[in-house]
Parts: sequence; structure tokens; C-alpha cells
Amino acid sequence: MQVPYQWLKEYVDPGMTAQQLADLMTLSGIEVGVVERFGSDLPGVVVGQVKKVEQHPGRSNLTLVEVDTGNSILNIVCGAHNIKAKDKVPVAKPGSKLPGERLIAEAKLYGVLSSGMLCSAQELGLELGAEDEILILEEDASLGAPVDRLLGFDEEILYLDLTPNRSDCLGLIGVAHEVAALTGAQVVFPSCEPVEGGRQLKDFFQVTVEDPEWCPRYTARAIEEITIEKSPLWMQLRLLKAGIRPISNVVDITNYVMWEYGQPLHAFDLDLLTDSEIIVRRAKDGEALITLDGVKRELDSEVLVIADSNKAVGLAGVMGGENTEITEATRAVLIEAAAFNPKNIRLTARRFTLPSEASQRFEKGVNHEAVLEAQNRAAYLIGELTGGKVLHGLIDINSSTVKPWPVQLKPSRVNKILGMDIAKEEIMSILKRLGLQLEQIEEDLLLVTVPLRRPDLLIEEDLIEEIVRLHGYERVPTTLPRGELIENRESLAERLKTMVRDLLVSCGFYECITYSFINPANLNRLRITGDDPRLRLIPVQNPFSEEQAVMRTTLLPGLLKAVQQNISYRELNMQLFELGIIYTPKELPIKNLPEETERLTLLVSGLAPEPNWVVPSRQAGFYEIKGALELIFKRLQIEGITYIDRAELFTHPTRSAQLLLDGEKIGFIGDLHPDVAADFDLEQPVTLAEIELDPLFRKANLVPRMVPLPRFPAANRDLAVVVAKEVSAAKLEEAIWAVGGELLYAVRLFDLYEGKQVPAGKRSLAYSLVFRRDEGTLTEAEVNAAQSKIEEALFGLGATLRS
Amino acid sequence: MLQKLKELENEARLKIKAAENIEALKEIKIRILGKKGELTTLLRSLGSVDLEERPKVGSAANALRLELEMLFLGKEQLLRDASLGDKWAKERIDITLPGRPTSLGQKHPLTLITDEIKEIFIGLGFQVAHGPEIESDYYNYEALNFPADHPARDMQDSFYITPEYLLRTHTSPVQIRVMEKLAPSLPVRIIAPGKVFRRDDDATHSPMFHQVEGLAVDHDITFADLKGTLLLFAREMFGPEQKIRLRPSFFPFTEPSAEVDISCIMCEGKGCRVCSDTGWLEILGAGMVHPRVLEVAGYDPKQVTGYAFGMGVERIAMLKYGIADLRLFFTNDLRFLKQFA
Repeated sequence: MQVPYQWLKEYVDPGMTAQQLADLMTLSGIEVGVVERFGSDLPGVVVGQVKKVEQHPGRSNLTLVEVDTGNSILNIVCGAHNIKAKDKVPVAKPGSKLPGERLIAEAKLYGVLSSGMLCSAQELGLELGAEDEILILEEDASLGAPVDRLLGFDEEILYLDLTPNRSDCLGLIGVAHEVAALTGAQVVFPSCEPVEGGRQLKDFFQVTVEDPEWCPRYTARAIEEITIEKSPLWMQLRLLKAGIRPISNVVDITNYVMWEYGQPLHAFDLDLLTDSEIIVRRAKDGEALITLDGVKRELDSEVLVIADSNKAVGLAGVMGGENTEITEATRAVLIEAAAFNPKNIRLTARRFTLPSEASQRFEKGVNHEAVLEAQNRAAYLIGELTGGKVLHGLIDINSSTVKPWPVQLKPSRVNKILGMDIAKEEIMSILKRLGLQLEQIEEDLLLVTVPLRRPDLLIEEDLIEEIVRLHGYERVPTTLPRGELIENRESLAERLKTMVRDLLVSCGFYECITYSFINPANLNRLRITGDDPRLRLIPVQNPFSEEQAVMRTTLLPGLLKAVQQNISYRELNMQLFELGIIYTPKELPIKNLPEETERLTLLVSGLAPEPNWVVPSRQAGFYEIKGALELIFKRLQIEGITYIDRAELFTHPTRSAQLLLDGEKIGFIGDLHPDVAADFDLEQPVTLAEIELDPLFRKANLVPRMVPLPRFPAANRDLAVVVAKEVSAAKLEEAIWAVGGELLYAVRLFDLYEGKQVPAGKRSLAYSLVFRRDEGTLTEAEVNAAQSKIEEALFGLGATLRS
Repeated sequence: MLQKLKELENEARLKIKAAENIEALKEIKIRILGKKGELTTLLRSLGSVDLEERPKVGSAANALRLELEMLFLGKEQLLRDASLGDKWAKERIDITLPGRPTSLGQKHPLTLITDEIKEIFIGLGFQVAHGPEIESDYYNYEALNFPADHPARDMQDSFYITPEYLLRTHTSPVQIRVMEKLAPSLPVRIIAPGKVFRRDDDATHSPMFHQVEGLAVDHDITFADLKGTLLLFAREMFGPEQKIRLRPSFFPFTEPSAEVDISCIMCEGKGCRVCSDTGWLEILGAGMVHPRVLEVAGYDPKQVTGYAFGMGVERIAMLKYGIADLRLFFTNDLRFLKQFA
């Protein structure tokens, strides 16, 4: 809502600058986004009066104009043809400056010296009139006066950012009420008493409202003997300052009054209303209307129309029809001021994508009382400004039952809710400033009567907000809630998530957050097919794009996208993870809330650690992820994790594993299949993992149990064997433990070698073994015996000792 | 006597400094601190000092002895090191080489901020609650006092799954879920962090972003409590000098309602480009829980009151870390993520 400050001041004088008022309003609930001057200065542009207009000697399309600017007579060459002697016009004297850094200087035009320029409205920066049409100023403009001042270019405009509850401020008079409440100033209401003449409207015109629920009030007045022309310059300027394009006197006045009262009006060409009749009715199925924008609208019974006896003439509250539009030929008008059902207006405006200043106001609900005031105000202005004859009488079909309503208020409750102490007198004074009526029922009970213009004040709490915002939010003290202690540690699952994040960070992983919606095509690219539960996708009804079309059932697409992006930035070494929710429907389309479960996804690619001079880097892959996961399992004290070959269709056939927890699949680790990597345009190998967190968290144990420290020293032995590659490390270790007996304390693989020094198809594994006994030091012989047993067991798997 | 000690000290210092090799230093040491050394001799004559002065002089002399011993020790090490110049040269390392890289990653900046917010409110006795991201229309709108044709719905454009289910547009539905679960027991003090979704996608809007909701309900929670809580939060998050400003606003589920500004952290309230010369930055919306919301969730609004607030995590992260572009949060660009390590 644009509020031209000088215009506002007609209804209330806050006694302060526009900026001061803006600050005050912002701090008390009506946010003023910005205060802006209407126009830039026009140095050197002054009011001049045309003395005579002559033909340019050389060019037939130019004229020579002599203008008097008060202290000098200037001769100016001019291309426009809409001026005559005595007209007051804006004269840009030599040395003056027009918008767009346009400097005006004396110049010879086709042999004649032109001392300046006569200006069109557009040349002054106004969106008004034609380009080649000199702006004619009002007759009483004084010669030589600066034009920027005359046109109010220095007027400040307040741009209000209204919250949806404050539709009362969609009109200047509503704003004036607010300003009055803030400053204690008085609201001055404009004149609303038209001088009536001619015949009685009711004698020849009839209004019928067929659907009072959708149109609780409809008023009409008629004006005859009217000439449609431009409205006075001051009104055009005011509308421009409000952000409205001036059109013609009658239409301008309806808009002007809308800006005053927040009540939209519509003007019909009276002579085009068949049978002098208005019927407010639902449209018939198949009925059509060409609206003022020239578009044909197909209607049905969900649309309320204004009609005459044989046709629709307007979409009620949204836009008028072309068939009864005000034109230069119009000689009589019918002015409509009405109240419509807000919901119906919203639906209609949406359906035809016709949001307008009018529909915006009807959608929020207009004040049923102000309908009549606005009607009379418009009639008054038309009578005053156009010379038209306002006919006797007014038609008012009013089925509205809205009356000012009572709200009870306990001053003690005001203070209980606010946590402060505002005196009852202050409370009452604030409510009065707001124009509310008060009645004291009991010592601590007020009956507050709310006028129709404040539909947002319905309950005691609404009034409490009014009181505290006018008292000043800055005066509210700062305290903390006091209350009983509650157990407020985070849930175990949340703490475990934090722990998992911390552990992964300590392993060098960076956390990512990707969108919760994905492109379903990415699941196809991942070869996820058939009855895979990840294809049970919940679609978004109104996504922005296919990229965000369905709710994710895996976090992989998001991280793969992150890889693509990072590669494109040449960030080639990455260790990423995301901890987030996937969505599993109970049925499709969903009728219940879907399940939302946590997934942990890890991804590595490139070198790890980042190349450096201290430790060697290697291609990050399976073991980097497995190591990080093992750390998590260890920290959560989770046992029972096993790995089995080949994870997913989208993983490398011989470089991936399913992860099982107590035999149940909880996820996978693996290199991305080269074919899939190619489909995702990834130029470098990628390894990823995705695991379910809930089964892990169910088994997690965070409290370590201490075992007594060994009292006797351990014996350390190294054992290197050469064995066929097919024999897995797990199998070897299993065999070692199986025969290690009570003395074996720890086994650690410390070297793995494949290459020239071992036969083809084999590899060497070196283990560090720790032996220990709880009671007493081990003898050399005991350790040797234990080691021999282990060696025997490994020989059983085809291993030989590495020499 | 004290004067003599002072002279002795000055002389000793000069001599130690001037010593050119260990032998010379040892000689000096014996001359001063040895059994017949100057200091020892001086101490022997302590008997001639006034009884009153004696303890003072005695402790000064002992202090001097200790200090000189340290000086000798230091100088001795210096002289010994100097004599082994070749050895050190061979063992020299380049101290300007970078250190061994620690392979530490980092949490996402939004997680860092969320953790920080949680920590502040847990410290104030709040629980952390969670709710579903796919939410029913009832919890997202209706129970929060947005009737079907309420104009406030214009403010939010939602991603719908079905006419009845949608991606939650704010974390406020968690308020209802928590209260329904707890009613009629008191107090309720929760914060609810999480993802939210709105149909907006441009330089300043992301279709997915993060909020933290706060809610306190009890017998006499006041608007002043809300203001105090938020002031404390602002100071913990942005520094002890922070000021806050509440402006009246409108949300269907709170009354009275407020927009909350903090003093601009860039210019400390003087006015700059970040705060559009106002000196203030809007960071959250808040208010007293609307009586209808309390009622719907199972509390008697005549008996209990509550406050609620909601803040955008991205907004706070942008202010705190100086992040200019919202989209950076979701592109997972390592050049960005690594800045928080």
C-alpha cells in the first residue's frame, strides 16, 4: 500500500516528518518498508505562460512559442501541438536538468534560436499523457514557480508492508485511524454529501441481489449529463503517487475513493445497461464475458456476476465487462459500491488469474458500513469535479448483519500475559485512541466494542496486542520463564547422530546437506528396478521441476550430484557424508504419514589424505569408508557386523559388499559400477555406502565397561604367511582365533603384499600376534607351542610361511 | 649491605654475559658463588647488620644466589650448544614446512548452527523435539489457526503430496504434536529443529531450508519471558553486547505477535548495507501462543499461557559466518564446506 504523505495529511496530521512517522508505524506494527520521494528535482524547470504560438518559418511540424516565465520572456521551438495562448506549461530553461541527466541548453533549431524547452509529462518523469503532448498545468500556477515543487515531486511516499490481518490499512482513512491512535491526532473525514439533482434513481432503475450470501450489500448511484475527460491534474498526480495509472475522470474518482476508503468501486455506462437494471447473480453454465482487459472469460455457477436484464456486465469484485465500459461517448454512469464474499472473490480472481487492487481488498473483506460512505464520497467528487448531475436517491440492497461486536477485557489479564504492569487508565486510554468504545462492567472487567473497520480484533488477546503495541514493545521487561525442572537431555537417537557426525568428521569426512526431493530418473540410472522398495516413491504434486519431483528413498542421488559439482570445480579429492531422512510410504497415494527413517550415506573419491609431503596419499575407496564405519561400530560397541560379496546392481561386481547386522542387511559399501559412473558423467572412480541407522542405534551401547589391566607382560610374535588370494582375510583370522587358545590376546594384520616376491595368484599377509596369560608370565616354550598351532591351522588353508 | 648486594649482582651479570667459554664461566662462578666467593663472603658478614635489617638482607642475598645460579646454568647451555655447531647443522629441520596434515572433516555449517542453538536452549531447560517433514494439512495449518480460506495462507506456498498431505512449510506443527502428547501436564519447553519446504526458489529463497521452533507453555509464561529468552539467545549466539528489538507483527498462531530484530552484527547498529541502514536485522518471528492453538492441543487457555518462536537457521548462519548466497548451503561445494573446518 502506497501512502503519499501529503494526501494522508488531509485526513490526519501526525505533526512529524514522513520518516519519523514511518519509524513510529514500523515499531508499532505497520511495517513501512521504505519512504521514497515521488520524483527527482527538476532544477531550472519553471511555470511559464504561453503568450503566442506561431508557425516555425522552416519546418511546418514545428511551432515557435513565446512564453513568460515571470521574470523573462523566452522564445522556444516546440514540436507539440496541444498548446494555445494563456496555457500554463512547464518550461525547461537553458541550464536546466531533466530526469535521465538530460541537460537543456540554448540551441538553434532549423535556423531559429530556441531558449529552452516546453516539457511533456513524460519528459518530467511522469507516466502521464502522450510523448508529444505538452503538460498543461493548472490555471492558478504562479509564473516562474519551480515545477518540481508545484507537482509535488518532493512529496514522500510511505510503502506499507501490511500483514494480512491489517486490511483496514488498505485505505488512507484506515491508515489515518492508525496514525491517530499512535499520535493522538484527530481523523478528519472527507466530504461525502453529494448535491443531488434531476430524477429519482429508484423511479427508473432497479437492483436485484439474487445471492445475498455472496453479495451482502450492493449500493448504486447514477450520474447524468457527464463529460468523460481527463481528471484534474492534482488528482492524476495523487493517483500516480499511489501507484495507480490515471485513465479518465470517472474511473479516476472510483480509484481515488478506493484509495481513501479501501472500498473498491465500479462505474458502468448507464445507457448500456439494458432495461435499466442490475442483477447480482451466479453466472449460468456456458455464459461468457469479455472483461475490460479484452479477454473472453468462460463462466459457470461458481462465479458471481453483475448483470443487466440480458447479459453479464462484470465479474463481481474482480473486473468489469467491456460491454459497459466507460468511454468518451459515455454520458451517464452507474456507480457500484458493494460488499462481496471474500472467499468467492479469491477463488474467482485466482481462477482467472486476475489479481487487482479491487479483488485484493474484497478478498480480505471490506467494511460493510463503509460501502455507503465510499458510494457517497464518489458521487460527491463526481458532482464536484465533472459537472455531472448526481441523481436523487441511492439504491442500497443490504442484507449484512455485521454489527460492532463486544470483546471482554480484564486489565489484570493484560498484565498477566505481558508480564508487566500497565495501569488500567493507560489501558483504557490506548483503547480509546484506537476508536474502540469502552464500558466498565466491573472493577477488573471492561466491555470493549469494536467497530467494523477492525475485523482483526475478535478476542481478548487481540486487544492485548493492541495495548502492548501502542504502549510500546520496547517497554516490555525481559525476564526468563520460571518453572519445574524437566529431563531435557536429547534423545539417545539424536545423541548418537551427533556422535556419528563427530566420528566421521574426525575421519576426514565433510558433511553435506542435499535436497529431500530427487529426480526419479536418477534411480533408473542407478539400475534400481523391479520391486525394489526404493521405487516406492512419494511424488510431489507441484514440484518446480523433474529434478525435485519425488521424495527421496535414498540419499545417493544427492551425493552423486555433489560429486559432479565438485569435479566441475576441480575439487577432486572428496570424502563426503550425509545423514538424513528417507521417506517410505505405507501406501500410495499416501493416506497416512509415511515413515521417515534415518540413512547415513558416505562417499569417497580422489586421493586421501590430501596430497602432502609427510604421509603418502592413495586412491580413496572401499577401505576408507569401511574404516570410518568400523570406527563408528567400535564407538557404539556394536558387534555382529559381517560383510558378504556383491552389494547392488549399481556397484562394482567384485569390489562391493553388503553389510549385515546379526545376519540382517543394513546397507552396503562398494565402488560405483563403471557403467553407472559413466551414466552419471563421473570421470573418476567413486566409492559409496549407505546404511540404515535405526538397527545400529537399537544395538548401540555407549557406556564402556572396564576390564582389569593385565598384571603380567605380553609376548609379541610376528607371523607372515603366503596364501592363495581367494582365501579371505576373515577366514585366516577366524582360523587363528579358533586355535589360538586362551593365551592369544590380540591379532593385527600389519602388512599385505601382492607382487613379484610372491607367486602369482597368491599374497602375503603378516600378522602381529599378542599372547598373554592372566596368571603368570608366559614361557618361551608356551608361546612357541601356541604359535605352532596357529601356523598348522593356516597351513590347513593352504598357506606357507613366508621366508 | 643491600647496596653492596646490588653492586655484586650488576657485576656478576656483566661477567656472565661476557664469558666466552665454559672454563671461563666456571671460574666466574667459583669467584662469586664458591665457598670463598664474593657472595658467600658477603653473607658471612651478615652478623654486622642491624638485627632489624638482617632478615631482609638475608632473603635478598638468597634470592640473588638462586638467580645467579639460573643465569650460570643458562649461559652454560648456550656455550655448550655453541661448541657443537656442526652436529646441530646436520640435524636441522625446515620449520617452515607445513605440519603433518590432520585429516579432519567438518560438519555442515547448518549443523554447526543448529547444534549451537540446541546447546543454548538445552542450557535453558528446553527439550529437543522432532516432527515429520511430510505433514498433514491439519497440523501444518488448521491446528495452527489457519482456517481453510484464511488470507495468511497466501504468505506460504506449499509443496503438496495429496490434498491432505504436504511438505511442512514451517516447524510450527511440532508445537501441536508435542502439546497433544504432553497435555495436560506442564511445563512444556521444547525447541524443534528441522527441514521445512516452501515453493520458492531464487537468490534469497530455497525450496528446502531449516528452522528451529521454540515453545514454552506453563501456568504463567509471559510476553516478558519471551523477550528475555530471545535476548539471552541473541547474546549467546551473537555476542554479549547484542540488543534485540521486538516489532508487532502477525502470525495466525500467536497473539500478540512480534518480529524480532537484533542489532546489526556488521555495523553494531550504526547502519550499513547489510541492515539497509536501519541498524537492525530481522532474525525471527515470535509471540504468545494463540488461545485457540492451546485449546486445540489440549490446554485450557484460561489456565495456561505460552510463547512460541521460529527462526531460520540459514539466516542465522549467513549472518554469523558472513555467507552472502543462500544457495551455497545446498550445492555441497567443498570449497565452501572446507571453510568451516
